[in-house]
Amino acid sequence: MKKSFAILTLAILPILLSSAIGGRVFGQQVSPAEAVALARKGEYAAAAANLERAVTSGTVTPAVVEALYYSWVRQGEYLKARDRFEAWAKNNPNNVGIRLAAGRIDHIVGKYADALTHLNAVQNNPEIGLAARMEKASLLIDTGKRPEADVIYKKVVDDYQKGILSKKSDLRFVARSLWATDNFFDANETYKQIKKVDPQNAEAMVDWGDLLAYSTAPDLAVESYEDALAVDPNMPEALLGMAGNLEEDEEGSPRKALERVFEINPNSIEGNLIRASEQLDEEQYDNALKIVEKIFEINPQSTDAMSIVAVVHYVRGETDEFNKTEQKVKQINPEPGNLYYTLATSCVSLRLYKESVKFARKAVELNPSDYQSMSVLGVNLLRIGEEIEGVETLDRIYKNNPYDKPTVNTLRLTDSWQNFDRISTEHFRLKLNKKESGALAPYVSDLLEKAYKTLSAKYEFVPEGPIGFEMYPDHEDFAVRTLGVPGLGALGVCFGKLVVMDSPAARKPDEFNWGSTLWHEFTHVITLQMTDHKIPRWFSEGLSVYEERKAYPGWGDDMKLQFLQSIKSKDPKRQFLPIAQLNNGFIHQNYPGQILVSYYQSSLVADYIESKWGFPAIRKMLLLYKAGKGTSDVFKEGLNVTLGEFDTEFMKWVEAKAAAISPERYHTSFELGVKALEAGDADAAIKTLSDAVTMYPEYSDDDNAYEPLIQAYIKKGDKANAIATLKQFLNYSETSFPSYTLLSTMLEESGDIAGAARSLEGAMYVRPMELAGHEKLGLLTLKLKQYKDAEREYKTLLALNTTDRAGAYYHLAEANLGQGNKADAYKNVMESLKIAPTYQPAQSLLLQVR
Amino acid sequence: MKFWSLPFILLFPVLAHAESSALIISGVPGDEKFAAKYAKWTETTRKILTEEMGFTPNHVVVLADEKSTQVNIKEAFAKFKEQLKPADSFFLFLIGHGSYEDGPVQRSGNGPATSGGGTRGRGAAPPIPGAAASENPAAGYKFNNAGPDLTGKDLSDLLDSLNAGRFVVVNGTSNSGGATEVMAKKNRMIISATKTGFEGNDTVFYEYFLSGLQKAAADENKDHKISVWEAFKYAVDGTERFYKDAGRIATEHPQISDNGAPMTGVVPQAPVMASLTTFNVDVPVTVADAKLQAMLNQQKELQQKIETLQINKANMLAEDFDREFEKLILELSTVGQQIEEQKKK
Repeated sequence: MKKSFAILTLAILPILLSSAIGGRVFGQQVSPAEAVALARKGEYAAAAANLERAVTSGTVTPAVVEALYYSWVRQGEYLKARDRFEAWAKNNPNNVGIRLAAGRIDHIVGKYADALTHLNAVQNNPEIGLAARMEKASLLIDTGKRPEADVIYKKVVDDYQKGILSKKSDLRFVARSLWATDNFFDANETYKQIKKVDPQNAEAMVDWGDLLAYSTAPDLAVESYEDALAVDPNMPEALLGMAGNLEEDEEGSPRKALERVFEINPNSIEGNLIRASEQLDEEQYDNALKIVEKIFEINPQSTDAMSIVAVVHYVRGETDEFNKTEQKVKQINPEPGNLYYTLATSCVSLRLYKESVKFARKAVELNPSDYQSMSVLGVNLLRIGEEIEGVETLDRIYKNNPYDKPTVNTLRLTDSWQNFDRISTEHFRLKLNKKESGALAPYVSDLLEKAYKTLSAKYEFVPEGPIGFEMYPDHEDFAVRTLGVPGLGALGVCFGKLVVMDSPAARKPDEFNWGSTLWHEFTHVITLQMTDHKIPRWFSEGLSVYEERKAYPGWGDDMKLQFLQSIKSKDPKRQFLPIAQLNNGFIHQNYPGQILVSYYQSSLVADYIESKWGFPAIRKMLLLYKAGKGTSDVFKEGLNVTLGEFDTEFMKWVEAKAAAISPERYHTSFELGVKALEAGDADAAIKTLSDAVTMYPEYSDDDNAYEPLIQAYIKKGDKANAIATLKQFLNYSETSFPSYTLLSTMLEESGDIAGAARSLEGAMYVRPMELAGHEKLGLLTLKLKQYKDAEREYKTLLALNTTDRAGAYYHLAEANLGQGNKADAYKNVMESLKIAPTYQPAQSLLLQVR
Repeated sequence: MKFWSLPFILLFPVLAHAESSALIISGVPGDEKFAAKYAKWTETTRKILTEEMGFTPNHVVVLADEKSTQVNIKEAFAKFKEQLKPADSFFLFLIGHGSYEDGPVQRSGNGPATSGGGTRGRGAAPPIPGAAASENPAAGYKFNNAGPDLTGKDLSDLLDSLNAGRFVVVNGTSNSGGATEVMAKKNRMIISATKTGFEGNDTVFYEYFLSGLQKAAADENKDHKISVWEAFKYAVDGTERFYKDAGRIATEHPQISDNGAPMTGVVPQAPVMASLTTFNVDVPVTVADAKLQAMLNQQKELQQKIETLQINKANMLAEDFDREFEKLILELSTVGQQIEEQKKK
C-alpha cells in the first residue's frame, strides 16, 4: 500500500507541480548538472523532478543526491524523501551520497536509530564523511549524547588545525564545530573567510546568521540570511532566520518572512515551531497543540514539539500530563536541555519569572556550556530580585561568551547601580539614580505606599514583598533592564515583585506622567501575584489602565481618536478583537498602533464588567485564573456568560458610547471656535466649542476644544466656567502641566485651597523637578494642615537644591511638628537657623520645639 | 576648637560700622538696543543702592556712555580716594561691552597665580627659566568705555589706589572673565559674567544680578540683607535657567573670585568674604527704650558671635560646632522673643 502510493506520487508529481508554480515547466528535462544549479537557485520543484529522474536512472553522484535531498526537504516533502532515500539506500547500500541523505532525512523524521546506522556507514568516507560526522554530532545531541558529539566537533577542529581539513567545502563544518566548542570568535572569523572564498555557500551563510542570532546580533544575522537569499531566494532556512531576527515593523516584516516559508514549505517543522511558540505567547494553547500535531505527523519523536506540549501542560497546571511529556522527552533525549530552555523562555513570555529561573537552571545543570539558557537564568534572577546570583551568572557567561549582548548590556547596567541610591520604604526597595533620587524619592515613596494601601485593600490581597522599584533616567537603561537590549517602546514593566520604569528625565517634557505609569505597574504587582502570574496579558493590562483611571482624574487612556476610529471601523482587521484573541493585539500588530488600541479595549472590558457585574466580579475572575481556569471558563463561572455572548454585549456597549461622536463635526466646531476666539467673539467661541466638548468629551489631544474654550471663558471673565472646563479637561488629560497649574491658581483665587493643592499635585506627576510648583504646593498643604504632604514637598525642595533652603527647612520643621514629630522638627529648624540665624519665624519655632 | 581664634581676629574688625561707596560705569553701548538696556541697568543699580541698600546718594557715582572716559573715571577714583576710610567698602559696577585679546598680559603685583594667556598645548616650547614672556600691550581684557579703553590691569591699578577695607567688582560685560584674571587679589570680590576672556557673546547675567538684589528670594539666610555671595548665586541660577529655557547653549558661565582665590562658579562651601559682605549698608539701630536697646545690643553681639562661629566651622569638629551653635542660637532666639515682647509694652 505504501509502495504503490509512492509510485503513483512519482508519476503525477511533475504535473501537479507544473500547475502549482509558474515560471518553469517542470516536465521539461534538463541535465543533472543543470538540475543541481536549479536547486541552488531555489527552484526546488523543477530541480527535484529532474534530479529524481537522474537518480532513478542511475546518476547518483553525491552532488545530485544532496541537491535532490534539499529540494525535497525545502519543499516540505519530508515523508516522500524518507521513503525514497530509505528505498534507494536499501537497494544501494554502498552509495555514500544516498546513505548520507537517508541518514539526514531519518534524523529529521525521528528515525534516529536508522539515521545513526546510515551515518555510521559513511562517516569515514573521504568525500562525504565530514558531512556525515557533522550530521551524526547533531543527532547525538538530539538524543542526549553530547559528550560523543563533542568528540566529533573537537576532532573536526583538531583536523582543521593540523591541515587535514583544507577544502573550502570543509570550512562550513569547521565553523560549526568551532561554535559548538565555544570558540565563538574563531567561528565568526571562519564564516567571514567562507564568505570570501565560497560566497555561493548559502548553507554556511545561514549557519553564520544563526551564530550571530545566538550572539544576539539580529541586525548582523539578517545580513547573513540576506547573503544566503541572494544565492537562493527561496531558501526556507534563511527565511526562517529572517522571521526570527527582523525587527517588528509596521509592515509586519517578520510575519511576512514566515508566510514566505510556508509558501515554499507548507510543512516546515521549524516554521511550525515558531508558529506554535507564537500561540504560546498569545496564550492560545489549543492552537499551539494543533500546530505541533502537524510536526508529529512528520516526526513523532520531535522533542522540540514535545517541549511545546510540555509548556501547555505546565501553564495549565496539568502536572501528570506534564510529567509524562517530560519523561517521554527524556526517553528520546536523556539530557533534554532544549526542553528546559523552551520551558524557561515560554515562562518568560507568560510572565512566570520564578518558574523560568527554575527551568533555565535545569538546562544549565545539564549543559554548563548552554549560554542561551544561562542568559535566561541570569536575566531572570535579576528580575526576581536575586541580584548577586544573577550578576554571578552573567559574569560566567561573559567570561566564556563575551558576545552575548543581553549579558554585556545587563552587566554594564548592574555596574552602573553604584550610581543609584537604594532607599527602603515599608513595602518597597527603591533604586533611584543619585542625580535625581533626592528629588524623586519623597514623591515616589509616597505614591508607591499609597498604591499599595489602596489596591491591597481593594483587591483584598497582600502582595509578597519587599517589592523592588527601579527608575532609570536613560530610557535605554530601562530597556536593557527589561529585555537585555535597547529599543523598547514601553514606559514601565512589572516582573511581579519588581517594577522597572523610566524616570521623568528619560522622556520628553510634558509627554509622560510618571505617576500614572507607576500606578499602572503596581496594579500589575497585584494582579500578577494574585493569580500566581496566570492572568492573561490583556486582562492584566486592562485592569492596570482601569486602575489608573480610578487613581487620579485624567490618568489612564480615554477614547483617543485612534481608539474611536477602531470602534467605528468597517475593516475587520482594524476593529476591536474578540476576547479570545485579545492577547494577539499586544504581540503581533495587524496595523500601526494596535497595541495601544488593545490596551484601551482591555481597560473598557474592565469598565464594562464593573458597570454590569460590580467590582467583586473582577476579583472573582482573578481568583478563577489563579485556580488555573482558562478565559472561557473564567467568563462562564465568573460572569455566567460565554465569550461570544460577552463580545456581543460588550461591543453594543462600546458602540453606544461612540455612537454620537463625529470626528469631522468635532474638527469643524474646533476650527470655528478658534476663529471666533481669535476674532474676539468669546460668546460664539464658547457656544461652538462647548458643542464639540459635549459631543466628544474624552478628546484631549492636540487641537482639543477644551483649551480654547477655557481661554474664551477667561476672556469673558467667567471664572466659574473656566474652572469647570479646566476640571473636565483634566479628567481626560494627564500631561497638561500648564492646565494643572492654571487650575490650581484659579482655585486658590476662588478660595478652594484643597482643590488648588490637588491640582498642583497632579502637575508634579508631569514635571517633578519644577521648583515653583513644589514651593506653592508646600505652602498650600501646610495651610490645609496636610503635614505629611507638606513634608514631602519640602524634602523634595531641599533635594532640588532650592535657593531658599532656610525656608524649606523651617517649613519642613513645621510639617514635622504638625505630625507630632518634635525631634525632627528640632533638627530641621536647627538646619534652617544654621543657614539663616536671624530668621525670626525659625527662632520662634525653635523655642517652641526645644 | 583650638583653631578658630585666628580667623576670628582677622575678620571681625571689618564687620562693624563701615560706609559703602559705589562707582557705576556704563560703557559705550554701540547701538540703540544696547543703549536702552545699559541705561536701564545703570539706573536700576543706582536706585537699588540708594533707595534699598542704604547708600548715601553722594557716595554713588554714575559715569555712563560718553561720560565714561578714562579722564572722568580716574577723576572719580581720585575723589573716592579722599572719601574712603580703611573700614569702608567700595563697589565697582561695570556695565556694557568688553573685549579680550589672547597673549601674555601684565598682572597685578600680588594677585593670585592664575594661569594667563599665551600658547598652550602639547608641543609648545617650554619657557626658558628666568626669561619673562614678552608682554603684548593689546592683550587681555578691555572695558569699552568712551575713548581709549581701560584694560583689566588699569582697573586693578585704580582699585589699588583706594584705601578701602573691601572691594566688590561686578563686571557684567562680555569677556569679563578675562578681567578677573588680572584684578583678583586679597580683600577683593570680583564677579564676572563669563568664565574666561573668550566668552564674547552679549550677556544676560547682569539682568539676573539686579533681580537678585531686589528679591527676597535671593536672601538665603533671611537676614534681610543681600550678600555678595547670595546675589551671585541668584544670578547664576537665573542665567542658567535663561539658557536652558531658551534651549540655547550657554555662552556665559558667571564666576566669582573671593579674597584673591581662583575664580569659581557656585560651590557648596560658600566663600567667606563674599558671604559676609552685603550690598546693604550696615546701619546701627538705636531706640529710646534703654532696656530694649540693651536687648538689641545683645542680639547684635550674639549674631556676630554666630557669624564668627560659622566662619570657623571648617576648622572645627562638627560636634563642637553643633554644640556651640545650639547654645548661641537658643540664646539669640530667646533674646529675639524678649525683644518682641518688649516692643509690645
